[in-house]
Amino acid sequence: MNDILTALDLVFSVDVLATIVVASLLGMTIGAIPGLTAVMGVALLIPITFFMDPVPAISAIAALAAMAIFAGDIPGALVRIPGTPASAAYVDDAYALTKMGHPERALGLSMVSACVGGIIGVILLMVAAPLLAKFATNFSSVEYFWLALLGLSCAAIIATASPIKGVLSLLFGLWVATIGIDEVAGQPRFTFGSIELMGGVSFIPAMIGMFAVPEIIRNITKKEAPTEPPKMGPVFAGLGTAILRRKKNLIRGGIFGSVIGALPGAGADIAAWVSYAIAKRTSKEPEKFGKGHDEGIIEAGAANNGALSGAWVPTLVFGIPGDSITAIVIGVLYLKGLEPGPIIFIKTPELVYAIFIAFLLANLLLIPFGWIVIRLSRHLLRVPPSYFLPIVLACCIVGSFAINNTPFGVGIMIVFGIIGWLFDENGIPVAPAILGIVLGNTLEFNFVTSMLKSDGNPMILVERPIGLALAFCVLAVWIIPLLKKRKSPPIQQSP
Amino acid sequence: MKISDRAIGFIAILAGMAIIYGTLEFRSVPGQQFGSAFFPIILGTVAICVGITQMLLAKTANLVEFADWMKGPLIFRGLSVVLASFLWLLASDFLGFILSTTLLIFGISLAAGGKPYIAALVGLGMTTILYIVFGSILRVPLPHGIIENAIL
Repeated sequence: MNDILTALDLVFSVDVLATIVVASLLGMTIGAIPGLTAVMGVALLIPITFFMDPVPAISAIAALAAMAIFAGDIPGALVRIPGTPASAAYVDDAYALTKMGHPERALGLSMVSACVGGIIGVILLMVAAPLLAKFATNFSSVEYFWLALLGLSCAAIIATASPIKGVLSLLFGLWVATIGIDEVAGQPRFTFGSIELMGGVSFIPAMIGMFAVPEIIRNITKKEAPTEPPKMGPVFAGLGTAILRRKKNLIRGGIFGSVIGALPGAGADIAAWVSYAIAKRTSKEPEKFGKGHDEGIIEAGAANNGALSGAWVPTLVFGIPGDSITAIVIGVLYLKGLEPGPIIFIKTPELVYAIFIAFLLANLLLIPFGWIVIRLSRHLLRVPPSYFLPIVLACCIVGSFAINNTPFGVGIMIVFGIIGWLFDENGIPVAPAILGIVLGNTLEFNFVTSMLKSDGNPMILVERPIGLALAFCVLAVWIIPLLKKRKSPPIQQSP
Repeated sequence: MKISDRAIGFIAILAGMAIIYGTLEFRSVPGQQFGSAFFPIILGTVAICVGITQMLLAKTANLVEFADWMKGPLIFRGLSVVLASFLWLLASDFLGFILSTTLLIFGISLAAGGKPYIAALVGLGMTTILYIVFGSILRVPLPHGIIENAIL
């Protein structure tokens, strides 16, 4: 109880509340601008959180991500350009409602769904995380090795269109993680004589480069005629009745989204697509989907934000990120001297409760802030990319500089930006590389430790029942796509 | 810029071999069975195997295919992002943060079709905000140059 009171005290302080409000507004703005994603928003926020205490830093990330994921629905509904990949699942329905003259209805439904889905996700986080953490205190290096490998495998194989390219991306990330002085032997690895690389590749500039630079290049090279966003009516008119009529979709979307989000490597976009498919399959009117029907918007919208909260379960409990955003969160926690894992629940429970409260608060703020941004959305969509994209690049540069106060970080950002762009152009997913950079050291450390414990006998990896079960899970993740591949034609050039 | 899947596989094989070659100079720790080279060698080996699989499964395609935007004037927009970033890296120490960042925003805005006076205003306004947030509030030692020396 004392821990909860301390957490309340931590969150309801002026600086944390102000940080949440500013981050929320930033998230709403970033999500509402087509082309700028929630992950990029979080990446841009990190250099600022670098200077904050852990609670405001994590609260800011939670608030920005929740707002940006919802706000991604706005350009989707108004001009049929999904603001974030997670909004793509139901963009046709939302846009069809707009064409019928009800953009406020499409956005109102997704706003309330996002809020309820997010709250369901937070409840799952609050219930499941401490229970799993208690269980995870018995884990040894073997279980952590398998967990890290499971998270990385899911990100590389399940969550990507081309598993082989996903694995290549992962291997690149794992190799980048080996750069620098090996902590065990004191041996510099792949530093190419550079003193700056002795400390390894800074995670934040690399991540900013890989996520933000390709998006800037992609958006700045688009030649699209400006579209005039439609006029907006009252957002809340008839919203309550519509939501109550679809409460089953709302709750199911929130629950499924939270559970899918909690699977390592699966993010809000997968949750939204799965929930949309479930809504269509169980609907009495499946023929209406894609033509302005509300079931898909509500169920997938709730799944979106539910997944966002759910992704924090493996992040906090095992130190295994649920999605790209939580991969960044793990990096931030390490920067703050906090090691995610079951120990964080024992050592700093007040911090964990503070994260729960901040998340709940961020999701509740979705309604008032969502309403404001829906009203302002027409103006946000009119900002020409020729002005806001250079601003985003300037933010990337100053953020990369600020991490180590040297231009070397900017150099890292540019190099990884070009690599990220090449990945993007060739259908190679970026997220596995980022997860590889974040989890590479954990994977190597736990693997080598296990090998040393057993004097080189690999059987140690499957001797304990949990280790064996996790090994089967990893094996399944690797084998199932191969079995599917045997039934389908050879791989195509990805688009 | 789309590189053929077969070439990507070949690059992965070369990268795997380079990683293994790079570990040859790592010294071994006496009494330590698993040294610094252990994990990178596994990575290199897996990269070679995945590269071979990629090469075997890939369909025949042109070595490199350029996207439509790279064949027209839009390429200058893409290049402006990379070039401006490199120029910032090279010139910021001499020009200082305020001038180099203003020029970066101004230059890319112009390349992307923005109006010069708006681009200049956006560049100067945003640079000032970033300078206040990072340089003054967060006390990041941003590069000092001509303007900073004159006004501070």
